[in-house]
Amino acid sequence: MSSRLAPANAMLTDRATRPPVPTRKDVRTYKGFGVSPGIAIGRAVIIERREASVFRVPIREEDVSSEVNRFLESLEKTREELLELKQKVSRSMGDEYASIFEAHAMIVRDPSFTDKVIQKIESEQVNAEWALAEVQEELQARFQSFDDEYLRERVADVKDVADRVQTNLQGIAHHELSEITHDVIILADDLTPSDTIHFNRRPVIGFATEAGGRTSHTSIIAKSLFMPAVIGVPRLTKMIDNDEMVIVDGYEGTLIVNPTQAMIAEYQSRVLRHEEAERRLLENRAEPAVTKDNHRIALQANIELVEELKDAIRFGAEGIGLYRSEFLYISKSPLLPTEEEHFQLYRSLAEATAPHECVIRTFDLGGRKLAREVIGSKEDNPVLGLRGLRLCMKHVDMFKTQLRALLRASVFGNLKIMFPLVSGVQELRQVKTLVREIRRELDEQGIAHNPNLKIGIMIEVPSAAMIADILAEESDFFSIGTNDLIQYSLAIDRSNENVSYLYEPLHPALLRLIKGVIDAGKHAGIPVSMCGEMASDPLYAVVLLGLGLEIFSMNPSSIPVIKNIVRSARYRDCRRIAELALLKKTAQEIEEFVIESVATRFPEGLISKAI
Amino acid sequence: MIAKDIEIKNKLGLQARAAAKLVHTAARFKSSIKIKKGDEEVDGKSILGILLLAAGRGAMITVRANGEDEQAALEDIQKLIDAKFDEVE
Repeated sequence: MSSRLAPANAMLTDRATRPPVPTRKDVRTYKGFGVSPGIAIGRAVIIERREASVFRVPIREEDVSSEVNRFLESLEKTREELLELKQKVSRSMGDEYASIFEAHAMIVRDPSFTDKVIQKIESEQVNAEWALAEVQEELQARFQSFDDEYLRERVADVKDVADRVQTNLQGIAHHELSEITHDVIILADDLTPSDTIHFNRRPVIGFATEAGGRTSHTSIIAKSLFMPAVIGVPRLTKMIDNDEMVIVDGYEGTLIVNPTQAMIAEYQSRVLRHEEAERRLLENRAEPAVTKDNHRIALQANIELVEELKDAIRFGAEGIGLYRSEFLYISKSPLLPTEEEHFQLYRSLAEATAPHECVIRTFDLGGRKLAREVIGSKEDNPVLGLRGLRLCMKHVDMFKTQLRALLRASVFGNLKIMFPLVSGVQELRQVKTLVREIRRELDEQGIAHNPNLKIGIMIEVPSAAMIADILAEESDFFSIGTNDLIQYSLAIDRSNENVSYLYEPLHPALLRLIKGVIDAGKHAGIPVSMCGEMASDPLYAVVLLGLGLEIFSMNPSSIPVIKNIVRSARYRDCRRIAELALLKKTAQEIEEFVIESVATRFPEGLISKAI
Repeated sequence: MIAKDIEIKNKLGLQARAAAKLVHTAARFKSSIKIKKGDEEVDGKSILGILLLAAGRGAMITVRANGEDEQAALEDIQKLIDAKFDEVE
C-alpha cells in the first residue's frame, strides 16, 4: 500500500485494468539456480504478495450507494470465507487454532471498522478500495503506537482481514492450497521461512522463486524437505500463469513450462536414473569416511526438523553436527515453546543420535522475517542487527528456558550446545556465566544435568575467525558457519541476485580465515567442524580436507557424495592442493587450479557435478 | 450501572483470540458493556475496540455494565478474564 500515486488516467485499480493474460500454450524454459536437487512435475500456483497498489478513484454522487453495496458484498464474502476456513482448520488442527479465524470474522462485522469505510466512501465520494486502504492505514498506525510489543505485532490481524476484503473487492479469488488435489509447484517472488513451512506437504512438491541466493532460507528449507527448488528466475511470476504445467529441475536449475508429453516422459525417466544413482551412492553407507592414506574424517548431518533424523541415518551420518533449533519457535508462534517441549525434543534427538554427538545450536532467528514474527523487532539492517547470540542474550528469559532444557537433556545421549554469531570473547564469557547460573539453579532444585556438557561456538563472524586462537582457550569446540562468514567477510548479501555472483567460497580471504580457525583449534586441542554449505560441495571439500578440517556437517543427502570424495582422496595430495591454493591471488585462479588438480588425481566423473 | 476493575492475567493480553471470546461473552447480554483502560473507553461488543485498548498482561481495565442483566454480564466477563481466556500457555 505504499505507492498511491495514480497515473493521471487511472480510473480503476491497476488489477482491474490489466487485460486478462492470454493462456500461452507454447513450451518455455527459464533458467535460474538449482538449490535443491530433484525433479518435480506439477501445476503452477503463484503466491502473490497481496499488496497490490490501490488507486484513488473519484465516483459520482449517484454511484455512492452502489459503491457502498460493493463494499458490503465484499465484507459478506470475506466473512463466509473466514468461517469456512475456520471449520476446515478446526477439523485439521483443533478449535483453539481455528479460533483466530472467528476473531477475524468478527472484525469484518465490527461497525467500528466497517462504518468508517462506508463514511469515507460517502463523505469523500471515493472508491471502496481507496476508502478501505485509508481506514486500514489509520488502524495500523494506532496499533504501531502500542507499548506492548506482542499486541503491537497483532497489527497483522487487522492487516490480514483488510487484505482479504481488499482482495475480494478487487475480484481476485484466494487460493486455499488445502483445496487442491493435484501436485502443485509454488511460484513466488520470494518466500519467507514461515511460508516454506506452510508449504512442506502435499499438494506442494516443488518451489521456484524470483529472489534468493544459493544459501537463502528458501533453499535451505527446500533442501531439508527434499523438495526440488529453483531460485533466481527473473520475473517468474509475470511469465507463468496459474495452473500451467511446470517441471522444476533442481539439478539443472531450470523451469520448463507447458512441457510436451515427450518431455514429461523424459523427465520421469530422469527421475528414475537419479534414484538409481542415489542407490549406488548409498552403497558406501556403511563404509567409514577415510582417505586412501588412512586419514579419518567424520561426516555429520545438518537438520532442522525431527523428521530429517531418519534421512541423516539413512545417508550414513555420524552424528548431528548442527540442529537448528529455530523451528520449534516458528511452529509454536505466537506462543513460545515451553521448557518441557524443548526438553522432550532435545532428549529425543540426543537419544536417537547416540552414541554419536548431537550438536544443538541455540535459537538464531536470523536476519529477516523470523525475528519480527517471533520477537517483534524491526530493524533497518537486520543481518547486522539483533540476531544469533545477541538476540538470545537480549531475550534472556526466553534463552534461559532453552538453556535449562538443554542442560536437563544433556544427561541423555551425547548432546553438545553451540552458540551462533559470536563476535568476541566477552559475549562467550557472558553466556557461560549464564550457563553457570542455570547449573546452580538446577543443582539447588536437585535436577540432573551433565557437568561435562561441551559448549562450543559458531565461527561465522570475521572478527571471531581472526581471534580464533583466543576464543579456543574458552570454547570446547568450533563449528565454522561458512554462509555467514562469506557474506560478512565479502560484504555480499547472499539473497541479493545483483551481487550473488560475488559469493565466492574460494576467495583467498576466506581460505585464510578458514585455515586460521582450523589451525587455532588444532593448537588448542579442540575439535573444529564446518556446518556451512561449503562443506557439502565436492570441489571445496577437497580443499577443506587439505586445510585440515576433520568434521564436515551437511545436508544428509550430500553425505554419500562427500564420502566418495574422501574415500578416493589421498590426504597428502589434498594438503598439497590446499597449500598451493593459498598462494593464488583470486577466487577464479584458485578454482581453476583446484579443478585441474582434481582432474588429475581423482577418478573421472567423481567431481564432475561440481565442475 | 455497575463497574469493576479487573486485571488482565493471560500471557498474550487482549489479542484477537481473547478479544473474540470477550465479545462473545458480552454479546450474550442485553446490557451495554463498556471497557475502559486509562482514558480510553470502548464498546465491549466491538472486537476492534477491544484490540485498540492494547491491554497487555498486567493491564488494569474497568468493565462497566448497564442494563437488566448487568450483574450476570459482569460476573461472566470476570470469570472469563480470570480463567485467562482458556489460553494455552
